[in-house]
Formats: sequence, C-alpha cells, structure tokens
Amino acid sequence: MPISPISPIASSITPITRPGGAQDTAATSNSAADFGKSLTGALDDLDAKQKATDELSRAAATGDLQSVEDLMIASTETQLATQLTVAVRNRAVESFNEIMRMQL
Amino acid sequence: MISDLTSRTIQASLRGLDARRKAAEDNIANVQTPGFIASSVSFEDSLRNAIERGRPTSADIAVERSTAPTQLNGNNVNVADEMVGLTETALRQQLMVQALNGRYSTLRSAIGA
Amino acid sequence: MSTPFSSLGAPASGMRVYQTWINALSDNVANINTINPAGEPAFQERYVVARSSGGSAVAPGGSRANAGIGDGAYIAGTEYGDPGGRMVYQPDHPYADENGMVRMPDMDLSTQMTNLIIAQRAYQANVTVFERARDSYERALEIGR
Repeated sequence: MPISPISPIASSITPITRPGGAQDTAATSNSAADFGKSLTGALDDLDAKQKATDELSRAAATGDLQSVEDLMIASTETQLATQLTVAVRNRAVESFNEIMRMQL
Repeated sequence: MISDLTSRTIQASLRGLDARRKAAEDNIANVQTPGFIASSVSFEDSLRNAIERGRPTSADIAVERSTAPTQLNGNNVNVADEMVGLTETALRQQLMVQALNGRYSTLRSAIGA
Repeated sequence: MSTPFSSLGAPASGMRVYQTWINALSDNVANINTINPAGEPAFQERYVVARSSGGSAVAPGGSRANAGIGDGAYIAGTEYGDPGGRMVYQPDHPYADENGMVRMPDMDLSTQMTNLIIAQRAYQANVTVFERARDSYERALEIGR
C-alpha cells in the first residue's frame, strides 16, 4: 500500500507575528507623547477647577452663593484632582528612577 | 495660594459671621431685659467692595441697632427671628470652614504631605 | 432669603406670620368681655392679613432653578372687625347708659380658641420644616468629608 510522504511541517505553520507588527515602535513613542499631553491636560483641568472653587468660595463669603452643593462638590473635586495629579506624577518619577537604575 | 485673595476673603467672612453670632447670642440672652434694643451685624456689602479693591481684610464689620418695635418694657428682641438668624449664621460658618479646610487639604497634597 | 441657605426663608417667614396671628388672637381673647359705653365703638376683633411673597422668575445670578417658587408669606396688615358690637343689658355697670345698655365686642370665644389652635399648629409645622431644611444643609456641608 502506498504511503504518502510526510509533508514538511514548517510550511503549514504560519509564523507568529506581534499584533500591529511594524506599527509597534511608532505606537510606543505616540503613547509617550499622549501621556505627556494627558499630564499637562490634567494640570490645566486642575487649575480650572481650583479657580472655579475660589470663585464659589468668594461668592459664599459675600453671601451671594446660590447653591451650597456647588461649592462642596467643587471643593471636593479640586482636592481629588490634586491628589490624582500628584499620584500620577509620583508614579512617573518612580518609573523614571527605576529605569535609570536598571543595569544595562 | 497660602495667603491669596480667596484665603483672606474666607478669613474676613469668618470674622464677620463670628461678630454676627455674638450679637445674636447677646440678643437672646437679653430677651427679657427691660429697655434692651437688639443689635445686628452687616458686613457682606462692605466685603464685596473690599474684594474688588483686592483688600478683603479691610472690610467693615458694622453693628446696627434694630428698629423693630418695642414691647411695653422697652425690649425689642424677637426670639424666633434671633434663633433663625443664629441657625443660618452657624451654617454659614460651617460652610466657610469647609471651604478653608478644602484649600488646606489641596495644598497639603500638592506639597506631598 | 438670598443666602446660600435659601430654603430657610419660607419657614422663617411662616413662623413670623403665625406668631403675629397668635398675637392678634391673644389680643382678641384678652378683650373678649371688654365693655365700652354705648356711645363709643366696641372693641373691634383683630384680623391679620397674610399675603404670599411671590417668587421671581429668575434668581440673582441667572438661575431658573427656583422660578415661580415663592419666598413664604408676610403680614400685609391688620383689619378691624365690626365697631358696632353687641348691645347688652347691664344696668348696674358704671358705663350703662339711661337704658342700662353697654357695648360689648362682637366676638365668639370658641372661634378665637379654634383659630389659636390652628395658628399654633401652623407655627409648629413651620418650625419642623425649618429644622428639616437645616438638617439637609448640614448633610450638604458634609459632601466630600
């Protein structure tokens, strides 16, 4: 009975390619720029929040504030945004230091 | 940010509210005193002008005598009005203290404490 | 009230209104048997006129959140009842005229007492509303704590 030869395995295995392939390196540098942008954006947002809270605080001082909830929520948002921005900055600095300490 | 316009505004309002609270407590303590004329405190308008000039702590805290009609013994304290005013002043003080605490908390986060 | 705690304005005004009504009713009850000579008017029943403090369409600052909602009530004035009163026969009274008649107020004690209970209940209701509004504000002041 004739036995057909075993076809080579290599041709039936498709090589594994990384998702994205050649676009991968460009994506890394893009995400670095995005991170920088999002950090600056967070700082601008925080600044706007602080200014809004300041205005509401002054309105409350002169008795012109219409809604107590507005000031309490704005004040809380400012505190949280500050904590978030500081946390992100701390992590970024930590990561930078980690990388700098790596033996090359 | 530690001693900027907003911080000094809050400080000035707390001083005004404290004066108002003391006046209300004095009025209530003297609800039966013959001849006693109730007093009230106003500072919001002066504070508004002072903020525009950039000097909130220069706001004038004015004490005025009430023009409400007197009873037979010359006393013109209205207890219900004073209690209502005292409640509102206490709430305003709480609000300004919360605003101040929020600022300190934000500062501490930024400093890293 | 044009303060951040505007909900306190209406119940505070309500307290003032019912306090004034209670004063008027007290005056009526104290004078329920006040006798005047026939030639003078009788003690006239006191009525208080309460009006609603209509709300503005737009609050200062441009918010329409409370458009149309009023700021409570106020006493617009006092009205006086019938000066004619009732003519009563009391010949022994120093004020009696040649017919022995004196003038007494045309008021009914039970009506005054009923109104007194209504006014007191309304006053207490306003105090309750005031306290509830104050509690709500205290909770709002805890936001974020």
